[in-house]
Amino acid sequence: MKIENTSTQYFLTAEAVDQIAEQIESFLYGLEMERANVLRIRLSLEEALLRWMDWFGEDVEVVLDTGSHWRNPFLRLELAGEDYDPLSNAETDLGEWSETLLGGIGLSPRYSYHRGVNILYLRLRRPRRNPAYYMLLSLGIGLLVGLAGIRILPESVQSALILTILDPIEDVFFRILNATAGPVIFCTVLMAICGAGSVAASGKMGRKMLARFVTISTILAVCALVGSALLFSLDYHSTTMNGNRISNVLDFFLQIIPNDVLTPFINGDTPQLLLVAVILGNAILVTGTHSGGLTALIQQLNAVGMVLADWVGRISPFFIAILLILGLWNHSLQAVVGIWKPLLLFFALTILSLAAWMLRVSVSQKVPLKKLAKKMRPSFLVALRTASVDAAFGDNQLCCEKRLGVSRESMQCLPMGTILYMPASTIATMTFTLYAAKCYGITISEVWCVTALALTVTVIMASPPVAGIGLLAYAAIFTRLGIPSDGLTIALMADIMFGFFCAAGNQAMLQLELVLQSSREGKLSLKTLRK
Amino acid sequence: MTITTTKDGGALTIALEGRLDTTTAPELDEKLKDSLEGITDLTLDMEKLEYLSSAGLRVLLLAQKAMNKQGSMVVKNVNETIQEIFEITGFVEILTIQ
Repeated sequence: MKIENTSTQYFLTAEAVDQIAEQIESFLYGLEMERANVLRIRLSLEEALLRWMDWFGEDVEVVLDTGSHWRNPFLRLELAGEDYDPLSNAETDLGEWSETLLGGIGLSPRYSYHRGVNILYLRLRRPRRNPAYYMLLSLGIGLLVGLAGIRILPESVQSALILTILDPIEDVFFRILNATAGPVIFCTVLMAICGAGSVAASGKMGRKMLARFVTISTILAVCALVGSALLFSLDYHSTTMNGNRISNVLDFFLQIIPNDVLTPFINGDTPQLLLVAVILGNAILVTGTHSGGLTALIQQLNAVGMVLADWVGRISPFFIAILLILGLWNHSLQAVVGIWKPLLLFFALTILSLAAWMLRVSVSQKVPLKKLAKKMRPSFLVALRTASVDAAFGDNQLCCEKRLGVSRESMQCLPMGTILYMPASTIATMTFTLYAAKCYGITISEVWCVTALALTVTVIMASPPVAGIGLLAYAAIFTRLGIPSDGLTIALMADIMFGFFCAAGNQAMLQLELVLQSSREGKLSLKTLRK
Repeated sequence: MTITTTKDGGALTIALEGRLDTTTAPELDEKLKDSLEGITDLTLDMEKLEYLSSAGLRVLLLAQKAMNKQGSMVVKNVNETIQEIFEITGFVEILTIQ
């Protein structure tokens, strides 16, 4: 779909605001945007224009630009005059309702003042097909071509193709993953800490929610670890408490501290990168407003990281197909045969966790379990079908507000929770990492387990739900735990298989946490919940 | 926009037809300012209202604040789009919608 760039000049009057609103709506519907989101954007920008009109008066010139930049649609309003930010200033309190409208759909308008011009810029997300669709397609194509090749092509031809084409492609892909994983994970952890710090600073509820997210994610990761240890017959080598063993354990923790700031990036050492990110992130939080320029730089770096993760996600389907063909022709996919075990464990743990939380809400709020499940079902199915928190966000929000009675204050934590709280993904990643360790004969110890736990919880919490980030997370975790790159082939397959249920599970657990949080605050609408 | 008012003692019903946008919102605002004295029950009938803008929401908010001091206000017969606007902006918690 081609997006035309347009620039229209208006003189700010009541009629002009209506004309601008109409042009904005027309542009957004042209992008096939959902009505609810169109309304949100239209109302927010209308309110911004009204605030400009309140301040500057009528008949000032306003320019509306619509179009795309690097194939991402945008809206831009420009007004020449003194510096007046309509996002944070208002002459009345009649428009306060507009301040959270766009945050609720993950959009963030930017205000700037440049050479005497006030600029309000809103970058929209490019409409595209769900990436999970391409992943599934690539799985299917890889399987078909791989199996057909085994039947049709002589082994000598297969070997030649592997040597000349498939192995080099595999090598390139793993290099891309390994090169990208470290910096992207570093940026996302840094951003997560700065963002989490802002949330924590913004109120007691934000801090409580954050603490609960970390605690529950850790507990579930431990459950996955124990379940995996019991189910997979892992090659376990215990470190016992004698002088040498203690020094080995101490050595391990000391190794996390890098010799210098650059080495973690050069070596792609994930624990060291995480440590640097945690220290730097907290230092930035402590300096507060004095680090405004640095915070802006981190936001830019994080945005670049997200683009890189997105690009990795886009090229992954092609590589997944190649890796699958390679695995079938090399007869190296024996691990796939046993994949029912981690799948079973993942489903069992996730369903049990979800059931436990639902039971807790049902008992504490005196809502029949069946009724609670019925209320959560529509949004659960959307997330399950799309494997995308973005696609399901509107239904998620509707479910929380209109069916579960979550308070408006607790709803402020929904965007944060969507990004930081991924309990099902934590279970999946932990389970599958241990399965991969089993398949590749990795000897595990207490130290190895603690490292796996810490990495999984931190990396999953810090990884926003962007296509491609799961692959980078696995790459970062596997590298540090000594699991060969070959293990990533099956990790990619598992990520696709787990992905749909993870999105739905993460969302459902978050909804239940918000209900419990609203109840603790005494603001849960029991009437809505029990209706 | 067409504004039709019906008064019965302390009860006032205002029916809106058309668009409540930035151009027409001042008209409703003026009408409310002129009509609300001595009114304890205000009903806004939105059956024929097709469009609601940010300026319209401001006027509704002002009316609700005024009626909170002297009585009650009810909004009725909203269509799907207007209801959606009330939901996404949180006006469902500010207004009484029937």
